[in-house]
Parts: sequence; structure tokens; C-alpha cells
Amino acid sequence: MSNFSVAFRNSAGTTILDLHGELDAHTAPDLESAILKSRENGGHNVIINGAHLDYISSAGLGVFMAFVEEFRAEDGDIKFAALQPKVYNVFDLLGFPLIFHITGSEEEALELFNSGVRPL
Amino acid sequence: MTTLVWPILFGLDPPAFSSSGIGLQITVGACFVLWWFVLARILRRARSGPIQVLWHILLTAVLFMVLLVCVLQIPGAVNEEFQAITATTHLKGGLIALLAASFAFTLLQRLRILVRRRRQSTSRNWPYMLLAMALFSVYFTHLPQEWPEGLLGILLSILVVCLAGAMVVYIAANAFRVSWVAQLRGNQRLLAILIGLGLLAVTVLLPAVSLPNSPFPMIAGVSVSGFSSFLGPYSPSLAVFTGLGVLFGFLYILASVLSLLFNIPGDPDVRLTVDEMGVLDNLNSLMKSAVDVGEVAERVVEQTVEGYLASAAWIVMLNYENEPYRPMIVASQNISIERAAAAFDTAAFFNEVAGAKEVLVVQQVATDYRVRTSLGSDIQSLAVAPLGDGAVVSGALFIVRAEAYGFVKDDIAAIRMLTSYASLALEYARLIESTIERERLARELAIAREVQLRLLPQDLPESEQLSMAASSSPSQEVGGDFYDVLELEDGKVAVIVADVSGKGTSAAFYMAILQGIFRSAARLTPSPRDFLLQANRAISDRLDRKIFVTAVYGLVDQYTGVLHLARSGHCPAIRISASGEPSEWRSSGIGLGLNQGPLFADSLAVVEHQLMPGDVIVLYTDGLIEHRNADGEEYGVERLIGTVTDHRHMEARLLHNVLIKDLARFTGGQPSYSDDLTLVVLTWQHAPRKAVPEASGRP
Repeated sequence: MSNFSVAFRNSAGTTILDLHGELDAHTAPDLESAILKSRENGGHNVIINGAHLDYISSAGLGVFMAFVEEFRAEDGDIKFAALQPKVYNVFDLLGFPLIFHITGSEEEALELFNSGVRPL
Repeated sequence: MTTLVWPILFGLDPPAFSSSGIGLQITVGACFVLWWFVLARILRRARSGPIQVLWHILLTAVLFMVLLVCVLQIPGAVNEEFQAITATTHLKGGLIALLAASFAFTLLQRLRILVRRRRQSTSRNWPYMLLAMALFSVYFTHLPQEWPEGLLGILLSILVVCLAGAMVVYIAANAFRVSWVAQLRGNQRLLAILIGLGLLAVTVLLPAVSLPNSPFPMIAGVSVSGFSSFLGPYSPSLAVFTGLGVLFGFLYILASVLSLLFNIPGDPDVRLTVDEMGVLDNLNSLMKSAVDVGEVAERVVEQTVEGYLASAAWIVMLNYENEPYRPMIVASQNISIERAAAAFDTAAFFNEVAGAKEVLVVQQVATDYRVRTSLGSDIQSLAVAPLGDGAVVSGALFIVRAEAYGFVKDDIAAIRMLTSYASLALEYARLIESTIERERLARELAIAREVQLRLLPQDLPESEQLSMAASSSPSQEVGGDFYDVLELEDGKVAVIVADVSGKGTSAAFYMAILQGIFRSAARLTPSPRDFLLQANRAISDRLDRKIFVTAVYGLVDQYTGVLHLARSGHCPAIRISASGEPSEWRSSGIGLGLNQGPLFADSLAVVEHQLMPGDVIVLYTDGLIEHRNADGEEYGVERLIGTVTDHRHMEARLLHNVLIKDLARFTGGQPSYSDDLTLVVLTWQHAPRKAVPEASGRP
């Protein structure tokens, strides 16, 4: 029933999570375990690629909030890239662009990591 | 060298066959005791099914007869005083002793498997019988030539009577322990009877060929008689012990054959022993009187031990209370839970049977890596049987026995039968427990829902200018959506619509907290900016990091008609003017609980709007616009705006109902929502309501 999946990629010390499908209260634990796994591997730099993320609910957004402080304390961050307009709208309504780096493309997000721009 | 080896091998003082010294007798005795243990070691690995044991004995007996007849062909004789006549007499006597002893020893050691098959409590009878037989053999053959007078003579007589008596009692006690007979079915039974009869024939033949004046001195021209005339003088004690051993074997096999003959079940498909039937009967009645899982588990292990399937048993069940689910010992019999947990790697065994869904047997626990060392000697073999409903293994029954190789095929079948019944009883108990639990939870949730609905305002303020209608429907019993309205003393009305992230009970708790904050803070700091800053501070300390709240808060001044409105992460409020002009107030503002620093305050913007007659303000939560129909299409903000625009002249309550109906129509009358859903409609009238009597009837 769940039509959500997470794929891992790695690029120069940054974990890139490709989210597919719909992220809601039921699928949020999948994302949570994916981020936990990335943290176990020492990855505190995470880019969420939302090119294939069709929907996000408040429970899904909560997952990022659960980790971001900890990652930033480790000099890492969670950044978002290539969000679909509808999903970006949800982020925007909530004020996420003020809290997170949200970029149009993955490369821009990587560039932000490389140039060491501090999170907002 | 020869003089040293010769007596040990053949127990003979070469020159005098029968007048061997006491030292030599002891040496010979010790050699045969050693041979007993060597044989025991060799035979330990032999298969232990009843048929296999009987078959093994029969083969040994036949082999022994053949070899005996061969050895008897060796020239050599003894005279009337049992003295050797020829040199080969020594060889012949030694070989005969070795053969006879080997046969008797094998017979006893193989029968031991059958005798000690079940009842643990009586297993000591066996070594006591062997001891009595051995002592009697030695004592009886070394009685003094001249019986002493007086007290010593009486004592010696009492001793010999006691020894003989004890031996007879123990032989009798062991000879009738034939409970294995009940396990055999159909063809196995027939086979056992045939082998048993064959064995009886061979043991009857033995004395016939052993006595000097045998009734069959010659068979087909071959001398077969008189081996006892060699064995007796060689080692009298050994001869007596061998005789007693064969006698016991004869009695035991006779008892077995008789009970096999008279205990044939009418139905060949009866697959269980009387003991096991009793166990299943008890479990069956247990199931009917359904008690809790723990008690059922206790009864299962108790029945397992009482049914002689085990010397000790315990049950592990998955603990569903904490993830990850771990198997825990819930009941044990004849072993403490602590000891069972310490000695066995419960999780490893459980995982194996849960995967294989089959009975796992460890015939020698000492060699298994999942068994920790320092086990007592009372645990030698282990069987682990899965418990569950067939599809999912939810527990396991551990059965241990005091002997290595304690489980044979029939035992496994019995264990399988037992566990299938036990599984049924356990699942039944669990079902009842979970039904009770579910009903209790449902009742409590129904109460929670009641409470939550009562938290929502029962009466909305109604004035000449302002009228309101609102509803909130949780997708589950309770939810995280919330609206409230508060009339302040100076004619202002504060209204809030909020959405706690997530759904269900946890969201409902935060919703209750938020209401407390609204009720108190809106009075003290009614302006939208002050209220939301206050609320953010108050709520941030209490929220789980992954929980946040979005809210839209409005303050209407009923005298001036000025609306101040701010939004923290929430869906923008919609305003439709009397002329049907829609606007969304998408002012900036971060969700409550997302930021505790200056960012929240810095980004929070307030909308100021002079309400105009005919204005409709709609506040809602995302559950409304994200509600989907069967095609997966969302209701959407455009459709919401369109519907409101079409019915903007309606009175607030009617407009609210129209919107809910339109949503239902869109989703095809789907009664349940996938997310909590809240809708608040405010209308601002230019004139007192009484002046517009037909207001509600207008399209």
C-alpha cells in the first residue's frame, strides 16, 4: 500500500536521499530509519532530493525537524533540492525556506555544502 | 611376557585351569568391568528407536550363537574336576568367556535404552539392578567352603538373602518397564513382536547349548553343547553375571512381547500414547476454559513434563510490548526461568524455529554453540518446537531431557502434536485477551473523543455584524485539529484554527495544550503578533522535536470592523468580498515550535483588513483541501474558493454546510477522512441580522 521509497546516494561526503512517492504519517518512519542509517554512517550532510516526491504531510516534515538540530550541532545540515512546486508550497507555507536551504537543483545544494555556507 | 598376557586375556593360570588364585580373579573381573565401559562407549551412538534396539539385540544374539558354535569346535575339554586337559582348553575358555560376556553386556546396554525411555523418577532402578546383579554374582561364587558357625554364619546368610532379594526386586521393577510399547503403531508393532519372538527363541536356545548335558549335543554333526563348563571354571562370577543378564533379557523381552500382543489398539490410526492422549485432553479442556496467555503457557509446560515428554520444559513468547519484539520466557516447569535463560541462547533458538517452522532437535546440548557451558548433567538433549498460528511463529516450546539422544522419531511426532494443540490454546487465549484489550481501548478512545469534542466551543459568538459556523472532524477517534473562539471584554473576538502535526492521540494531547494556551494568552495578549509569539514560546518547550503546530489567528474588532490576522505556517485564510473578489492572505510566518529564536518573531507578519459588508472569511486546515476522491484528485484550494464565491451570500452556518456537502460530493460520499479536517466560516454583515430576514434563503 505504501508508495514511498528512499534511495541512497553519496557524493563527496554528502548523503543524498532520493525520495519517491508520498511522505505521510505512515511512511514517515521509513524516512526516519533512512536518515538514522545515514547518521550511523557518519553522514551529517544530507541533501533531500525531492524531484520524485509527490506529497508531504506534516508528519513527514516533522522528521526533518527531528534531526536538523543534531546535524547542525555536528557541523552538518539537511538541505532540500529540486522540490516539486506543490511540495515546495507546503514547505513555503510552513516557513521552511527560512529555516532550511531549499535549492532548485542538487548541484546548488552540493555547492552550498562545499562553500561552507552556514545554515540560516 | 606370555605368562603375563595369557592370564589377562584368558584368565587362566596355564597349568591349572580352575584353581586360579584370587588375584587373578580380580584382574579378570577388572578387565571385564573395563570391557563393560568400553562397550558402553561404543554403543552410546547406536540408534535408539525401539525397533532398532530389538533388531540390534537379535543380530548380536545370532552372531554370538554362530561364533559360539565355532569356538566350541576348538579341541579342548575339561575333566570332571573342571581341569584343563589340553592347552587349547585355555584359549577356548577365554574366547567363550569373552563372547558370552560381550553378548550379555550388549544385551543389557541396549535394553537400558528401552527401560529408561520414559519415567525419569524411576531411572535409578537400572543402575541399582546392575549393582545388585554384580554384587550377587561375586558374592555368590565366593562363599566360604565351610559355612562359619554362629553370628558370622547368620550374618553371611542374611547378606546373601538380602542381595538375592534386592536383585529379584530390581529385576522385576525393570522387566516391566515397557512403556515404549505403547508408542508403536501398526506394522512397527508386528515387527517388534516378530523380533521379540526371535529373541526369545535364541535366549531359550542358549541354556540348551550351554549345559554339558544338552538335549542337542550335536546339530548337523557339529557339537554345540557345554560352553558353560568352560565359562564356569574360567570366571565363576562372570558366568553368574552373564547368566543373570541373559535371564533379565529373557524376562524383559517376554514382558515386551506379551504387552505388545495384548495391547494392540483396535484402530491402527491411533497415533498417541495413553500419556500423550491425557495431555492433549487436558490442553483441550484448558482451551475451553480460556484463561490468559500466561496461564495457558504454565499449563502447557506442566503437561509436557507430566506427560513424560520432558524432564523440564519452558515456553518463550514474543514480547509484543516493545519493539523490536524479543522472545521472553513466560513459563517454565522443573527449571527456573533464570537458569533456562542463562543456559540457552533463547533468541537464537527461537529465530531458527521461527524460520524453519519445524521442531529443532539438539541430541547433545553440550556440543551446541547456542548452549552456554556450565550446564547441569540433568540437561543432555533439547527439542525446540515452534508455537503459532501456522503463518506466524509467536513462541516456542523448549523441551529438555536428562539423556543425550533423548528424542526419537516418535517423540518428535508427539511433540509436534502437543505443540499444535498448545498453539491453538495459546492463540485462542491471545485472541480473547486482545479482544478484551481492543474493546477497552475503543471505550477509552470513545471517551477521549467525547472529551475532545467538548473542548471545542459549544456556542459560537453571534452578533449583528459577525456570524460564524465551524466544525472539526478527526480522521481517527481523536485528532490534532483545533479551533476556538473567544469573546473578549472590549467587543473583540479572537478566533484560532490550528493543526498539530501528525494524527491520533499524540496530536490530541498537544491540541489540548494549545487550547489551554489560547484560552489564557488570548485574553492577556490578544493581538495576533503578541499571541503567536507567546504561543510559540509556551509550546516550544513542550513539543517533541518532530512535532510542530501551524495556526492562523484572527482578532476582529466588532466596533470598528478591523480584522488583524497572522499566520504561523498555516494554510492562508481566504477572504471573498461581497462582489466575489477572492484573496488569500499569505502573510509570512513560521510554524509554532519550528524556531525558538528571533527568526520566528522577525518573520511573523500581520495582515490588517477593514471588514466590508458581505465579506466572507474562511479558515481551514490542510485536511480540507488535501482531501482526495477515488481518483486521487485533491479537493484543492481553487475549488474551495470557487464554492465559497458561488455561495458567498449565504448565512455562515448554511455556507459552512454547503462547503461540507460539496466536499462529500467531491469525494463520492466517502464517510471517513484521511486527515483531520477543520473549517471555520465568518461572515460580516453590513446591517443587523433582523433587517435581512431572508438572508439564509438567498442563493
